[in-house]
Amino acid sequence: MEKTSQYQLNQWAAEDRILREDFNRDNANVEAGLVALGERVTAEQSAREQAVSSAKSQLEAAKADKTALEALQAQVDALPFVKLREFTTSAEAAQVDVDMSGIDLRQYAYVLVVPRLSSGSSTIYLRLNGISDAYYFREASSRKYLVFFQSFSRDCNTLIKLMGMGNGVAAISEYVAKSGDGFQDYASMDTNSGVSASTLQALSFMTDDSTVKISAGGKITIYGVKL
Amino acid sequence: MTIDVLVCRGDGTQLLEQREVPEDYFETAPQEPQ
Repeated sequence: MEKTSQYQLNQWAAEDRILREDFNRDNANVEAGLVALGERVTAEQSAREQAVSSAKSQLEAAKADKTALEALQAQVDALPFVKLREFTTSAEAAQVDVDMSGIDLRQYAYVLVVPRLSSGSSTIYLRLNGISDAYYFREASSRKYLVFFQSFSRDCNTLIKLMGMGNGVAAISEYVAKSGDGFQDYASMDTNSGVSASTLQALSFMTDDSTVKISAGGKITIYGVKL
Repeated sequence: MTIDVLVCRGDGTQLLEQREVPEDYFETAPQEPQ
């Protein structure tokens, strides 16, 4: 007796005998095939539903993450201070230069420099781009540094605000230092005509004595204060 | 004269380099009273 090509079901020819067993075997084979097919369809449907459910959960989590990220970004945008530089000096040196390239002073209301540098009991001076000529001005007189402050080791806390002004850079500096049993305060407003906001490359910290070094372990932090 | 300069770069790295400066480089006069 012939069989079908795929499922091997009986195909009777005119001369073939018709037997009950052949029908029963075919029906049993058909039922087994249908049951297996049904199980496969159910399994595939379940897997598809699980995949859709998992994708939905991931999408919802991503949406929640995006919302949280946007909220965080809004909080960051609302902060007035942006930390631009932070260094702990790794070696003692006669001069410490802080790279200012890429920082445009005009983008900020001011750039706040917090130098916690020590040099024994010596005064520390700030120059721009290491320029040692008398291009710095306070009121009508010129001098060879922008601002000065006392060593942090003398309990001196210093704040320097830098601003791009026309073709120069202006600084407002303030410090409070321990003096005897009390404290000494100082504030100044200074300008520099040799460096502009767009040509400022480095803040140069040094003492007025080549033999006195700025100690390792000092900290310099620079913030931009948004307009 | 030659001095040691600690260069703190924008990428956070630091480099100790030697630099030639004029003899009067460390003169800061006139100074203000401190």
